[in-house]
Order: sequence, then C-alpha cells, then structure tokens
Amino acid sequence: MTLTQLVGILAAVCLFTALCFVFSYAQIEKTMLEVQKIFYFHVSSAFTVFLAFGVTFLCSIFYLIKRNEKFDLLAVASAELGIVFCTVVLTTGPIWAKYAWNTWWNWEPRLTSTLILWLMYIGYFILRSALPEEKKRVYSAVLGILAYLDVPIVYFSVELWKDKLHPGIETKMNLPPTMFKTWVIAWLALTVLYVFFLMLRFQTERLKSRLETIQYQQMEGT
Amino acid sequence: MTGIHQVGWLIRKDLALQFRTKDTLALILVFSILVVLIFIFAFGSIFPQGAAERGKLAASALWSAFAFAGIITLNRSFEIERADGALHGIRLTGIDPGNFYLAKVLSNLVLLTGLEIIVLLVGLQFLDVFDTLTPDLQKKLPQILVQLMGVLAIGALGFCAVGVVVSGVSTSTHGNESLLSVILLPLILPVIMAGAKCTVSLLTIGALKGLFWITLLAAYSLVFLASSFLLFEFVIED
Repeated sequence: MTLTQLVGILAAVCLFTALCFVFSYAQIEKTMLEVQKIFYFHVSSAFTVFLAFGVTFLCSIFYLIKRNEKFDLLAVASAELGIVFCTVVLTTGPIWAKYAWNTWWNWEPRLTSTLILWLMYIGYFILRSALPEEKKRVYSAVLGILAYLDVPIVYFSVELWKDKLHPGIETKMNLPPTMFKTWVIAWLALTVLYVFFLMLRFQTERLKSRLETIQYQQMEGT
Repeated sequence: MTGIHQVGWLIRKDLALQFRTKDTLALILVFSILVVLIFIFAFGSIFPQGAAERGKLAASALWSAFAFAGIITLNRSFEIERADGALHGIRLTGIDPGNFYLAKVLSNLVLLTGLEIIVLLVGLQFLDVFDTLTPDLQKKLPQILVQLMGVLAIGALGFCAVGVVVSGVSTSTHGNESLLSVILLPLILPVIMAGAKCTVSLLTIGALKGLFWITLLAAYSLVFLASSFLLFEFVIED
C-alpha cells in the first residue's frame, strides 16, 4: 500500500468520524438549530484555504530560490485546492447568512475579502494558461507570493474593518465543549483530505510534466 | 552611477517618452473623463440632488475612472519596454532591477497623480459637487482639495507598486491588456475601497473620518512596494 493510499484511507476515516460528531455528538444550537452545523465545514474550509494558499506562497518562494520544478508543481496543486475550499466557503457562507442575517449576501468584510481572494487565485490560473512555457513557472510564483499578501487582510478583516456582524475568532474559543471538539475534528478531517488531494494532484502534475518531456524528446529525435 | 542617479535617469527617460508622443496621455485623460460621463448618464434618472449623496457618487465615479485609466497607463508603460527588446538594452547597461522598478513606479506615479488631479477637478465640476457643497464646506474647499490630492497620491502609489510588477508579467502574454485587468483589479481592490472611503468622507464632512482608511491605504501601498521591489528581479530576468 502506498503512502497516498494510506492518507486517503485516513482522510475517509476522519471525514466519517467528523460527520458522526457533527450529527450525533455536538449539541444543537438554540437559535439556528440544525443549520448551525454548516459552521463546522464552513470554518474548517476557511482554515484549509489559508493553509492551501500558504503552501502555494511558500512553494513559490522556494521555487524562485531553488528553481526546482517540484516546488512549482506543489504550488499549483495547492492553489487549485485552495480555490476548491474557497468555493466551499463562498457557498456555505451565504447559506449561513440567509438563516442568521436573512440575506444571502451582505457585503460583510470577511465574505467580501474571501471573494476577492478567490478572484485573485482564479487570475493566477488564467495567467498561467496564457504564459509561454519558459516564463510560466517564474511568473506564477511571483503572483502566488503577491496574492498571499492579501490573506492576512482576509483573516483579520473583521477586527481591522471594525464590523462585528461576522463572528470573530473569540466566538470559536467560547464554543461549548461538544461544539469545540467537533469543530477541531472537522478541521482535522478537512486538513487530512487536503493533504490527500494535494498528494494526488502533485503526482498527476508530475506525470504530466514527465510525459511532456518525453514527447518533447521524441520530437527532437525525429 | 549611483542608485539615485539610475532611478533619476530612468524616470526622465519614461517621462520624456510619454511627453514626446503624448498619445498615451491624451488617451488616458479622455478615457477617464468618459468613464465619469458614463457614470453620470448611467445614473441619469436617479442622479442624487443632495450634497452628501453626490459626494458618494463622485467618489465611485472618480475611483472607477482612476482604476481603468491606471490599467491603460501601466500597460503602455511596460509595452514600450517589451517592444524591440528595449528591456534587454536596459539590462545590458547593468542597471539594478530594483532601481528599474522604483523608476517605473515613480514615473507612473507622477503620470497617474497628474492625471487624477485633472480628472478630479473636471469630474467634481461635471458632477456639480462644487455647487452643492454646504457653505461650511465651501469655505474649507482649498483644504479639502489638498487632502484629496494627498489621498489620490497615496492611492496611486499603491496602484503603481503592485501594478508595475503585474504589468511586467502580463505584457509577456497575448491579449495582455485584458489579462492585466483580471489579475490587477482583485489585487488593488483594497486600495480602491480605502481611497473611495477617504474621498467620500472628505467630500461629505470635509475631513477624514478617523485615520483607519488612510492608514490602511498607506500600509497596503508600503507592503506591496517592498514585496514588489524584491520580486521585480524575477519579472525582468531572461
């Protein structure tokens, strides 16, 4: 059994455990009732977004220093997953907002900043597809670094922009014990899932890169 | 040649190129005024009558015009360098990439700030903001205009700080102008938001409502100036 398969099984087990905790262990919140359970995946996805774009940021820096293709492939794979988890945040956020604040979208700073972040990384991929092969890696690394500088603004926007509509960090720390434990498990489950997807995407990108090299060498030979 | 001399010569070169042909200057000036006009016509029937509401509309129209005009300016400024291998020529002279970046930021800053001041005055006149200001604000008009120009200059610095790097990247692609908009606009949204907020408070209450937005604008500009300064070397490498 390969390491990827092991991590895959671990991710499945963690997700199943998280679902069990969400629906059977965590107490039901008094005002929002069952809808509140979206919180466990909404907040955990948001944390995974920061992790994913953080990995892209670090790998972009390492790529610019070392010029090793592996870092570029990891950066791209992680950015893709970041967009996926960011989409989850942007989908579950409005569902929460509809029940909590009676509107799907209210231009609340943290949700707005997440949308900006999502658009930035979509731009990252548009740029990558438009660039010539020899410049693709360096330029996307540069953009990967610049885009991540916006992440602290996303995370601390509630505190910075002085809008207390969105629950802040202290809300998560003041959760009842059953809810807090469930949230930690959901967060761990999504992190393991992210690692599993990252390994898969990295391997796929590496195989793609090897195939392109072989095709190029064959063309050179003929 | 010291770093300051290098930056000075490069700024002179950029400004001389722009003022000799004047086509980009004319283009961005007319384009910015057209954006303000489009806002006026598009708002037509719901055009606000009160001074406060007009101030808000003016801030939106002006910052939209600045953003679009800024994209054209930055794109043109880097297209010149990419054409006919001009960039290679500059690199061969041994100029430090950091100095080249600073010169590009400063030359674009001069152009954009100058343009924004003209568009600000024309736009405020077209939107009847001057006439609808309260007597109290009318008295403070020179101070308000000076503060507005300061906000525009800081906003333009943030815009150019990140825009020079992104335009350097996007001019290497096909269809670069539309690509520059897609990449640059999300990156500079905080600058536009903070700039528009400062403009609204200056036009409606005659002063900045707290220092939060102007601090955010300045901090964002400095963060991107420092990081882009370090990254620019990779943008112009062969």
